[in-house]
Amino acid sequence: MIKKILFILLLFLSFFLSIIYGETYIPPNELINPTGIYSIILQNIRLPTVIATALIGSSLAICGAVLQMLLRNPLMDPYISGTASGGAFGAVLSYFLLVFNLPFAFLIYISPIIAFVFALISTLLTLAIGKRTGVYGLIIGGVVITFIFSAFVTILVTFISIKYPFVPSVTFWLQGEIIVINWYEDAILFILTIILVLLGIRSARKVDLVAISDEMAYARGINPNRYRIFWVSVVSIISAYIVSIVGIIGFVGIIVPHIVRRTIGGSTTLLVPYSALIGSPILLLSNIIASGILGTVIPVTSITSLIASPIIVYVMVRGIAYKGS
Amino acid sequence: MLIKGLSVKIRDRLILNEVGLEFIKGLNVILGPNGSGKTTLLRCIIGMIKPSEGRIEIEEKEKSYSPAEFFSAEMNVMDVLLAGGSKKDYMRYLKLLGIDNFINRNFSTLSTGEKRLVLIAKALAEGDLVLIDEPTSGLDLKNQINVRNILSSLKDKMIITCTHDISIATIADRVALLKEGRIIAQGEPVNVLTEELLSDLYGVKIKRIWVDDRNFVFV
Repeated sequence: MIKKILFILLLFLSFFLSIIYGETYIPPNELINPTGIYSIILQNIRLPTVIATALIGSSLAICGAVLQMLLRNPLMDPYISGTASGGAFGAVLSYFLLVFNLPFAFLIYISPIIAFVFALISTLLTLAIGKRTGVYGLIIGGVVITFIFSAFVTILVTFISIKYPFVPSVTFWLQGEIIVINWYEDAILFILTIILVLLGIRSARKVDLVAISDEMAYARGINPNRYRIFWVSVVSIISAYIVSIVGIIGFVGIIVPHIVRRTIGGSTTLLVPYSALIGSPILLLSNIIASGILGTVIPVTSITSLIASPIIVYVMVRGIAYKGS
Repeated sequence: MLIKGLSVKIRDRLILNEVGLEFIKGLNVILGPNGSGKTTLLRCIIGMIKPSEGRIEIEEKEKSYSPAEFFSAEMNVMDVLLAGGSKKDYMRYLKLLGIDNFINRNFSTLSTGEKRLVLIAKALAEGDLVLIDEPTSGLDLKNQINVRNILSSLKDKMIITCTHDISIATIADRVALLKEGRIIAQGEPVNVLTEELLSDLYGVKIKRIWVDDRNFVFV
């Protein structure tokens, strides 16, 4: 109970800090009755960005938690699984086809769907590689797939930026940058996050069962591999949308479920709601560092990867005492 | 419940060869050495493996499974029991197995044998058709005896276990011997568990000794 309260306080605190700290410092007294330039920044940039960051943090954390359970691997998240890189590739590809007047240029209109298709493909490729190669196979497979799709993103974006120098850079795509000026994007993120939270809570016991044993799942009438594909698709949809608006944000899905497991517990019934609760502050605080407090804008994924690294090393050194799937 | 002519081929290896079995209410034991195809048989029954030939006729029953290998998830024993969303009288079976004090412990910190007991309790609570892969593997003597006695006492369920532990087969209601994917005998323990059949099954000389007029053991 007290942990719950602390986490909620952390959420409010990080929300508040994110609103006042950014590329421009907004003094707290301006929050109640914003005037002039502060009002413009708050309404058009700061608030939509902060809300988006909170929602993205929650969603990515839940995605990481569910993937970790279903794939029996505590180092899984939408980035390591290759999902985010596939999504980035899909998004960039649709721009590329348009810019160079290639066939299928009309795909730009459904660019988030193309992002989803490639997010799904990249994840399935990672699963295919990982299935046969033991506990670490999934991670190595994900890293390889991420390399491949990131390379393609780099190449395509380089060519696009020759023609149009002001498109989002390679760094934006591969390392993320959360700047949201459209409330419409917040609305979609909100809907996706709510669906994810509700779906996650409702499915929690089922996810737990599939995690423990495929045989037990079959006996209770669940096809575990089809269920995994279902959730991979859900994660791909959400990751693809997030990547197409803010680039690849990685490692939140590793950091947050790990914290939840250590402080609260590891059943999916706990992982989903608490990952949502802790995911927001983690990304909000990382984004405060990333968005200008150190003097300049730093890509967000570099911050999250630094936070995640000790956790990753710790998990590996303690031995992934789990049997692979 | 009947199995007719079941054959399973995995990567060109014939794992089960025209297996025909009949199961009854109570404790059914499939006895066989390592690698004889026991787990494959259980997996066919739950639909995880599709046979290349033959069929399985089961009445509509609630099935449950206690596996030999599983993922050691980091959650409470209570959450492990509730996994899958069933609400059953788990405490009753935990008490029977002597592990009711485990209910709030972290599942991943239990010993392997203790984890298996939890999953056996879960399977017994949830299913009318209960499949248990190697019920006594990894258990100390006290728990082995306890599990054996409990399994043979639950007459209103259909329990199918596969094992290489002969002592469970001696108290079963029905026994089948599985050798290299083939059923070489099935029926009541006293008829099936003969010295000739068991020596053939295990490839070593086995002697049967009567303890009293109902029970016997093997050396």
